[in-house]
Amino acid sequence: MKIHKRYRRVLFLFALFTVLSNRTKAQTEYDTIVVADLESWTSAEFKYKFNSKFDFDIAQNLRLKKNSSQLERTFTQVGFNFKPNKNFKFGIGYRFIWEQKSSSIQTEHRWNVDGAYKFEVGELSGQTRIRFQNGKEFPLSENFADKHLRLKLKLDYNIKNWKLDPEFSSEIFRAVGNESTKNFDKVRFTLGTDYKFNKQHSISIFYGIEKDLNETYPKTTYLVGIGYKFTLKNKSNEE
Amino acid sequence: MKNNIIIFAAIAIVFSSCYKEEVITKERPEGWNYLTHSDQAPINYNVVFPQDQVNKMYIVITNDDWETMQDDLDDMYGGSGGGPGGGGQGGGGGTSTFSDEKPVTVKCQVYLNDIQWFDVGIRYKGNSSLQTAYQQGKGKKPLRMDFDYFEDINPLIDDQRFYGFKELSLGNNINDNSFMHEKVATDMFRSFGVPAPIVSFYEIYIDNGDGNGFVYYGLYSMMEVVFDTMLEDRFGSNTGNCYKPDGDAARFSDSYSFDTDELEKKTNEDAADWSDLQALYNVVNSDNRTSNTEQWKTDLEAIFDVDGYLKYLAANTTMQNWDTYGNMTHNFFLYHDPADGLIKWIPWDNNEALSNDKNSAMDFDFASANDNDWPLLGYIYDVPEYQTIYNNYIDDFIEGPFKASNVNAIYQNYFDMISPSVQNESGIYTYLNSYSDFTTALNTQQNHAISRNNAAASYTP
Repeated sequence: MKIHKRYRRVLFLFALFTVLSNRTKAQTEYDTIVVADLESWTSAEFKYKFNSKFDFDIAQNLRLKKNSSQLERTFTQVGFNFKPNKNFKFGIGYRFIWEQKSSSIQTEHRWNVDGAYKFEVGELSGQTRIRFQNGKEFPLSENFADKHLRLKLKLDYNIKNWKLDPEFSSEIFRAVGNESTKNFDKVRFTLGTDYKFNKQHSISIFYGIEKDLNETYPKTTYLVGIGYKFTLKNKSNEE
Repeated sequence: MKNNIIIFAAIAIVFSSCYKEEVITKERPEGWNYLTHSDQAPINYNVVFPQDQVNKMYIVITNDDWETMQDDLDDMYGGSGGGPGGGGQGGGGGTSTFSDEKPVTVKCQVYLNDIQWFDVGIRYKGNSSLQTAYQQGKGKKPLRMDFDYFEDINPLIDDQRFYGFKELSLGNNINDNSFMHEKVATDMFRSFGVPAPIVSFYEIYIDNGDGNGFVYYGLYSMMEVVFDTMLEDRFGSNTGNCYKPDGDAARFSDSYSFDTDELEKKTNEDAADWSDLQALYNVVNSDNRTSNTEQWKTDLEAIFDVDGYLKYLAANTTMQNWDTYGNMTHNFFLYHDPADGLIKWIPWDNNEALSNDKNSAMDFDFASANDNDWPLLGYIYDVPEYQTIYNNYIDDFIEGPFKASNVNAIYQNYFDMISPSVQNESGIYTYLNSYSDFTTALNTQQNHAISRNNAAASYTP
C-alpha cells in the first residue's frame, strides 16, 4: 500500500511536470542574444615614410571573441596616406578579411577613404577623422556586408617627463546606402597609450567599449588591444 | 604600490567585461503560433501532406511583386508576347533553351485553413515544366516557397516554418492528364523502400492584386524538398553532403569532366569538398571494372549504396521514366549518409514517370543506353550479381507495390479524390482540353500499369 501511494505521487508529479513543460513550450519561443563580450585585438604593422607627405603601411590583425577564446576575424590591411601640410591628412585603405562564421570561415574585403584634421591646444593634441568604408563578401558578391560613414575624435594629452601619454578616442558609425535600415548603429570609446622604444619601434595598448545603437538588444563589446609598429623612413628624404 | 593598483584595475576591468548572453522572448506577428510557425515545433506531415484529401492553399501577392515575377520570366525566356493579361500570365513563344538562372523570389502571404504565414518567399521553378507553361501562355506554372526567405527584411518571421517545413515545391502536373504521375511514382518508390519525398495534392488559389480576388490556379502536386526535411525524416540526419547533379557531370562518366559546378551542393554548401563524389567518379571509371571486377565491386560498395540504387533502378525502369538518368542528366539527388558512409540515390521530379508518351524510356536491360554516357546503368548491369539483384527487385516490385491490381486501385482512389479539383480547372489554368481528358487518362494509366507488369514479367527470367 505504501509503495502504491508513493508510486501515485511520482506519477502525479511527472504528469504535472509534463503538462507544465509542454504548455511553456507550446506558447513561447525563446532566443539567445549575446549582449556583452570581451574581445582582444592584436596587430603588427609596418609603416614606410617616403617623405614628410607620403607614407604606406601594411598590417596584420587578429581579433578574438567570446572572452577572447575564439577567432572573430583576422585581416591584412594596406594603406596609403598623403599629408599636404601638418594639419590635413588623406588616406585610402584596403582590407582582406577572414571572418569566422557559425560553421566556416568567410572571406570579405573592404576599402575605405579617409580625411583627417589635426590640431593642438596647449598640451592637448587632437585629430578628427571622417571615413567612408564599403565592404562585401569575397569572391565578388552583391551581398551587402559593411557600408558605413564614421566620425572619429582622438585626443592626446602630453604629460611632461612621462612617456605614457594618455590617448582617448570616440567614434560613431552610421550605416549608409540603400540597404541600411537604421542611422547610427555603433559607438566606440577607447583609452590607451603608446610607448616608443625608439624612432622605429613602438607599442600601443588600449582598453575600449563598443556599443550597438538603435538595436532592440544592443551588444556591448569590451576591447583590450595591443599593437606593435615598425616604422622606416626613406633616409634620402630625411631633413 | 602603484603597480599593484594598475594590476588590480586591469583585473577588475577584465572581469567586469565578460561574455554574457540573455534569453529573450521572440517577437512575432499577430497570428503566429508555435505549432504552425515555429522552427522548434515538430514537423507535421499529416497536415501538410495528407494522403486522403486535397488541401486548399491561398496565396496573396501584391500586384507590383506579381509584375516583377512576370517581367523576370519574360527576361529569362525572351517572351514575345502575352504580358500580364488574362489573369496576369506572360508567355507565348520565346526561346527553347533552359535557363540556368533561378527566377526572382518575391513576397507573398500564404493561407491554409485560415491560418496566415507571413512574407513567404515565392518564385517560379522548374525547367521544361516552367518553360512549356510559359510558351503556352498558361497560368498554372510550377512554384517554390521558402517560408523564411525574407527574414532579414522582416525579423519578425525569423526561422518561420509551415508546420515545420521551411521550403515546399509545387509541381504543375504538366504533360500529365491524370495528374497522378508525380504522386503515384513517389508513392511507389516510398512503398518499395526507395528514399523519395512525400507528395500531396493541393488546390492553389492566387490573388495577384489585379482586383479580381482569388483565382483558382488549378490542382498542383506539393512535394517535400529533399534537403529541407526529407533527409532528416528518411535517414535520421541532414548533416551529410547532399547534391543535386545537373549537367554532364551527373553522368559520372570519364568521357565528361568532373565539374563541381554541375554537382550543386544542397547541404554543407560552405565547405568546398566534393571528395565523396570524386571518389565515386574515380571508382566507377576505374580500370578494375574490367581487370579485377571483384575489387571494383568492393570499392564501389564501400562508397555507394549499390543495393539501394538497384532497387531504385528496378522500380524506375518498371514504371518508365524518360526524364532522368539514362536519358537526362538531372532529376535525382545524392546523399552521403553519415549513418553508414554510403552515397544514396534519391529520385526527384517524377512528373514524366508512369508514361510511355514520349516512348524513350529505358529498356529493362538498358541496351539503348551507351555505357560510356551512362556508366551507372551499363557498368553496373554488366555485373552478373548486380543484374540478378536488379531482376529480383523487379519481381518484388511487380508482386508488391506495383502489382497491377494494387496500383490500379490507387489510381482509382486518387481519381475519386481529385475529380472535383480537376473539374474546376479552366482556361489558362489547365492543361486539359476537356474534363474527359482526365477520365480517359485514368484508363490510360491503368492500362499502362498492366502493360508494364506484363513487360517486367516477360523480362525477368
